[in-house]
Amino acid sequence: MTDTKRSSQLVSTALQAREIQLLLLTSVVVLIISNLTPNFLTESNLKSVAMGMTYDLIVALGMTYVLILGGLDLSVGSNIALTGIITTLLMQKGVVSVPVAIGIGLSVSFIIGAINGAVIARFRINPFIVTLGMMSLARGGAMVLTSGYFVTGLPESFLIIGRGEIMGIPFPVIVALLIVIVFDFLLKNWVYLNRAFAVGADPDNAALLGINVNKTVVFGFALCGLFAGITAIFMCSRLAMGYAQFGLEIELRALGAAVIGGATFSGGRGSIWGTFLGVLLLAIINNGFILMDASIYWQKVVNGTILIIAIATAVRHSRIK
Amino acid sequence: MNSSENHDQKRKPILSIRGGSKRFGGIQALDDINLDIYGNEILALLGDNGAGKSTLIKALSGSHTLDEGEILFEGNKVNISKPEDAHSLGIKTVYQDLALFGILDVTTNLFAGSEYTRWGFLQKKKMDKEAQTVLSHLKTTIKSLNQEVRSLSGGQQHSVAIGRGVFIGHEPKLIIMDEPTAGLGVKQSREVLRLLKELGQKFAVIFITHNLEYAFEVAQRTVVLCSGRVVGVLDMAEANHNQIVSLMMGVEQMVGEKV
Repeated sequence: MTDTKRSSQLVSTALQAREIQLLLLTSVVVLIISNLTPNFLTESNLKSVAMGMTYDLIVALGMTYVLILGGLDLSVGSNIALTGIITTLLMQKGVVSVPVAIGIGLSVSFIIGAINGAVIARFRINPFIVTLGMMSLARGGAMVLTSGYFVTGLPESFLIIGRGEIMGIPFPVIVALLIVIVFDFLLKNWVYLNRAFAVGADPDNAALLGINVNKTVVFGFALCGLFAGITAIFMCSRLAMGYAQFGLEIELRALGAAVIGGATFSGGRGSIWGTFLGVLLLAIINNGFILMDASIYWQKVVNGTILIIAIATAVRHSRIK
Repeated sequence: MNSSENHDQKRKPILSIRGGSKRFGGIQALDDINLDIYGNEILALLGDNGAGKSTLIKALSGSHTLDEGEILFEGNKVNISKPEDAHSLGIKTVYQDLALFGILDVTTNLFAGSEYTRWGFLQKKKMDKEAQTVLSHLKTTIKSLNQEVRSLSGGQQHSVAIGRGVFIGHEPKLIIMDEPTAGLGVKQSREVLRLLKELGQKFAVIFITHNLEYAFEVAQRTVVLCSGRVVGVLDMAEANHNQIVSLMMGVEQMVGEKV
């Protein structure tokens, strides 16, 4: 019994090794950047890193969940755009009150995700194809609604959501961290979320054991959509507008962060804190580039390279085992 | 020679099939099957491909229903029309394809779909404890319940599959093992045979196999099927290899056998 306990501790330490490695890697990057530029470890800069990673973080959490389910969602960026446009248009025209507009916006984001999930589960189409279609559809919808113009003139009570602070910490950052903590706990302990691991590892097998695979998949994609919707609310509030080009390429950064954090494309794997560290690492690297006045074009090159390395190692890892 | 008569004198069968028949289109998959299984025995179900072994097993585990005939369980006529019916009777089947989640840990594999929960929250300690109990039933040691199942040996993987199939949920009474040694190496097969013997101490076990040596090693009796009919019921202690092979091939039939 003690032997079993001891070795189970060893194994659980080994399982968390990825998080630990990431933490070490992030610390090294922080050391390097703070040595290269004095502006890194300042309060205002750290605040901007925290705020900058918040959008990616919330989206990446939903992405992690659909990766665990064995899927992926390319439509999160355009979900942000469409949800943001609908929410801000409703407010701008004064059709409904701010809370109702937010409620409608979040429902839209949830439904977009649920449609993804339903089509994937019902027709057994590859999630890549379905969410690629939705990516174009939702972005197109956002364009049609605005003809490409900004939606501005939003009520002050809405702008507080993204701009408010508690003890100097922006409100969206606090909410994002709360989501990380609660979602991590629920994923590990709540049976309906936890079953995603079984569904992603082997859907047919899970179905044989009486798990409702389709329901789990639809709900998972809907949740991923909802997380994109929450991001849209913060983004529109903070930037005081709705815009059809919001959320461009966020799916790539979210995927990269989730994969860096331990999720795989074959499903059944993924860690919320791993994803958190993945987002943090990418945010710090990007921030380093900005502080060192490197061109924004180089940032994209580096981001892409990191993404490819992360995915390649993940694929290699799952093949070896 | 007539083994079932010997058993009849001692005790009653846990499960009996009387006149079991099943047709698929023009094919008579099972033809007037009569069969008894007793507690604490391992019964080897032998037969060539297409002899009707799988159909028979599926009728007992609830995947198929018989067209004709009846199934008696502990002396009562029962109706097994879906897997849950078999489960609630205590008839547990472990299929050849173990249906495990390779990348998930032992406890998750044991309880997937039948988790212990309170208000929807997993009771992990309770499941770990139960997992230990299940594995100790099978006299299997697994270093850590957090281990990925694919990192276990073939024998250990069978333990997990048997543990889930047999011990989680309703109390087992009759265990059906469908080709448990198929595709395994010698060492791993030995481990599975050991598990089989363990189970045979406590429960009635039907062991489906192609491997006569294994049947001789673990089973007390055998029922040989050929073309959907029972062509022989033998005590393993009295049977010989050639006799069973000729029965399986349909060359010979035990005439006048009252099954």
